[in-house]
This record gives sequence, structure tokens and C-alpha cells, in this order.
Amino acid sequence: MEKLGVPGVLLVSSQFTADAKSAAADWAMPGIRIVTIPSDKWYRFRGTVEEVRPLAEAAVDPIIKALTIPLTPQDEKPPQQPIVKLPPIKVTGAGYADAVEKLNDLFLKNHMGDGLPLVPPTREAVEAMLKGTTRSRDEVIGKVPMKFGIATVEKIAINSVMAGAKPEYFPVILTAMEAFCAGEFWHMMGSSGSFTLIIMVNGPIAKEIDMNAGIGFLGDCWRANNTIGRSVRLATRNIGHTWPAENDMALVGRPSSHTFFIFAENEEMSPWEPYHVSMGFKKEDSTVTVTKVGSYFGASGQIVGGGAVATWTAQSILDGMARLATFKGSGYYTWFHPEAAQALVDAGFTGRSKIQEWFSGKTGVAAKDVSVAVTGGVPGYSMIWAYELDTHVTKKIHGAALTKAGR
Amino acid sequence: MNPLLKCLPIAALLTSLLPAASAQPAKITLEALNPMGVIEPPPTLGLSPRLADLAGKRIALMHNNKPGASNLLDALQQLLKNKYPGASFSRGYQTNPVQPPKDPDMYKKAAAESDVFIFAMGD
Repeated sequence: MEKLGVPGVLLVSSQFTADAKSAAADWAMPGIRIVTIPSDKWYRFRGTVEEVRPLAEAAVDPIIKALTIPLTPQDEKPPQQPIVKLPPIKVTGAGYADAVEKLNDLFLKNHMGDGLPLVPPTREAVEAMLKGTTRSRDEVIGKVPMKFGIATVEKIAINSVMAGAKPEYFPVILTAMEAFCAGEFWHMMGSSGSFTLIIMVNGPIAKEIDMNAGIGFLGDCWRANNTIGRSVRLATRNIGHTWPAENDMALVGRPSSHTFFIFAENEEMSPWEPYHVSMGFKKEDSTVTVTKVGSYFGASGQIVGGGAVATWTAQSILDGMARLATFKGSGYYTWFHPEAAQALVDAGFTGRSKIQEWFSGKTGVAAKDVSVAVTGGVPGYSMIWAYELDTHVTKKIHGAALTKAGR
Repeated sequence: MNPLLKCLPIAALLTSLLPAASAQPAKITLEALNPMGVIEPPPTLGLSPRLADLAGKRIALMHNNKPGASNLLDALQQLLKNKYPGASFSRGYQTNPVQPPKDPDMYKKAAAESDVFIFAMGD
């Protein structure tokens, strides 16, 4: 509206003032006039017009002033925002351990990192990481929200070193970032809803770099899973310039905050063709699929059957998933543990498309918006996640230099 | 001679060397590459000229559909109407908290029909 010549004012709660100013700068208008409503009262008293009236009474004069006080020269012609230089960072310590500690402190103080100790991204370490790919260090993979920092291969390599990844994992990390930049993930990076990311790896590279696809598939103790996930988490945070309570307003953080959720599909135990093959890729291809999912609400990571205690049937699992699919306009990521997948085949669901059709008929969700994966070991759990459309993206890995797959 | 006593000169020698052995380790400098992404800021824009007064003006009350934002605008509309009886208000312009407006021309329409706008974020 301001760009169209209409003067205006933005009303935000006080806790979101920094976020609003940051977004205004990102969208070319850092001087936009903002009136704040106290957060400690806003969320309590916004439920009815009567309750919120005192807040409106306190805001009305500042609103009128924002709309009528003449512009300053700076309001009329604000200075161009500079391109911030990002030189290497030097620290000196009394020995290696002290230098590493100082570097970690400095990084965190400058909003780079994730709160866990970081491996120093020295020039030598980054060069070693870059040996994992044949792609040029200067290739632009995409722009990362919230501030749309440019994700080059080298920038992603720096973050991958910090995360403790091995060079042979690097093509998987690059492809996850490529998929992330291709989709609509900006909302996930800043929303108060605490959304998170799921990363699924398919194809022969998963086994070659020793990714967990079985029991504990979302858990710790697997270097490939954990450091690939952490690399993507750090790259999105650092390259996109986000920070909690500033422009990342995820109120409870995120589930699996440091590594997102990451696993390999259990292709060996799946009775169906691998997920990526169902998406049109070749079996010998390796792919990464990234998906934005909700955090602790509704059909977000809900277990709907399986395990080692309660009994279950293929039909009870399907029915449970359909019951949870209540968000209209969402896609659904359905994960079947290997035994459930086999039971579904026995019940006539001979391919993923049969599951998609059944689910669509039961819930009204378009079949193309139902994704089916086989996850975990034996015993295992079946789960369902709601995802926003345009945030479920699969990309093929290429340019791998240290593995047979993904070249 | 007690064998332990024989060792004393050696122990004394070692003790004299201890300060050298526990000296501060050599200083180390680490140079780390910067993990932040380069940002290409868009050309910065100025604000639109303010109005001298809201009397008789067309005021667009907009929000992003988050709960409470509409209630706040209801209350504001009443307060502004009391101060500026000749002002008119439009309330048909809402965005989605997650996605851009369904109507790509929403802002153009709102701008054509308004002299000023108030946008409540609901957050």
C-alpha cells in the first residue's frame, strides 16, 4: 500500500516489533511506521471487542500521529542499505582448546550457530568439505529466508563443517538446501507456530554413507543422519540470518531443533518401489525430499499404530490416519512401518497409489497431496504428518565426488 | 643408603624443570570463514506523504486474519468514527497469515479505494 502511494501504519504486539522492523527492511521499506500493542495484554484481551477496547484506546492517538505527522527527510529518502561484508573471523587463544572455545563464544554472540559446540570452519576444513562435490564453490543454490541470504556451495560447506559433517555427506546436504530453496519455506523459518523440517533420503547413497533407516530412524547416534540434519539447520539459520525472538518467532523452538527430522526411507524392507521411483526418478538415482510440517498440533508426527505393545491391523492404521486428516488444504505425509506396509500389500494395497486413492476417497485430500513412505524397523510405528502444499519438494543428488551414488 | 634418598637429586632436578613443563601453551590463532549468507538489499523506498488530517478520509482497516486483529479494528473503527464522523471505513481487505492474498490485485484495489490504511498484524 505504501509502495502504491497510500500512507499507512502497522500495528504489531511489542514482542514482534523487532520482527516487524526486520521484515520491513527485507521488503525495502525500513522506515515504515509501527504502533505497538503491549504483548502481555494483547494475547489475553484480543478475544472480544469489549476486552480489546482499552488497548485500542491507548493506540488510537499514536496511530493518528503515525498517519499525520509529516515525513522527515529520512522518511522520504532513506539511505540505501549496504551490502554487509562478511570477512573471515580470527580468534587467538592460549592453545587450541582455548581458541576453539573463544571462537564458539564469538560465533554465538554474533548470532551464528545453534547453541551446541561448533567445529571451527577453517579454510582447510572447508576445502576438505568441498572435495565432496564436483560442483563449483561459487554456484548459487538459492536464497534462504528470512533475509534471503545467498546460499552458495561454499557457504553451505562452511556450515557443514561447523555441523561436523563428513565430505561424503556434502552432496546430500547441498541437495537438501536446493530443495529447501525451491519450495515455499519462508513461513517455516519465522512463524510462531514452530514448524519444522523433515528430510528424507532415498536411493543408494543412503546406504553408502551409512544412514539409519531402521529402529531409531529419527534419533541420535548416527553421524550421517545427525550431521546432515544439523548442516541443513545451521545453513538455513546462518545463511538466512534468522535468530530466535528476533525474526524467528517459533514460540517453543522446533521439534528436533538442532537437526530437524532426518532419515532414509527403509527401501530394503519396503514391499513397494522406493519413494523416489514413485516420483519418476530411476532406482539408481539418489534423492532428497524436504517437507515443512507442523510441530505439536493435530496430525503432526502422530503415531497411529504399530509398536510392541498394542495390537493393530492395516485397516486400523489407515482409519487412524484418515481421522487425523482434519486440516483442509494440507497435504499428508503417511509413514508406514515395514510390517504395516506388508500388511497393506496383503490387504490389496499393492502400490503407493492404492493408499493415495483410499486416503483421498476417505478424506477428500487430492491423491497427489498424499505422500507415502516406509520408515523404521521391526517392530515400528506408523505415523502421519500434515504439510503445507508447495512445501514438499524432491530433488535428485548430483555432483558427488566421494561416493559411487549421486554422481 | 636408602634407595629413595638416592633418587632425591633426580627428584629435585625434575622439580626445578616443572615450571618450564607447565608453561602456558603457545598461542594459537584460528581463522574461520563466515557462515552467514550475503544479502543483496533491495533499493530502499521512502514512505508515502502523510495526510494533514483524517477528517472525511477513506480509511482501509486491514488485517492478516489472525484471531483478535478484527476485534482490534472494530474497536479502532468506533474510536476513529467518534473523532472523525465524516470518515469512511473499508474492511474487505484481509490477507492470510501464511500466504499472499488470494486476489493478486487486492492491494491495488485497496489503494484505489483508500486515502490511508491501518494494518493490524494480529501478532
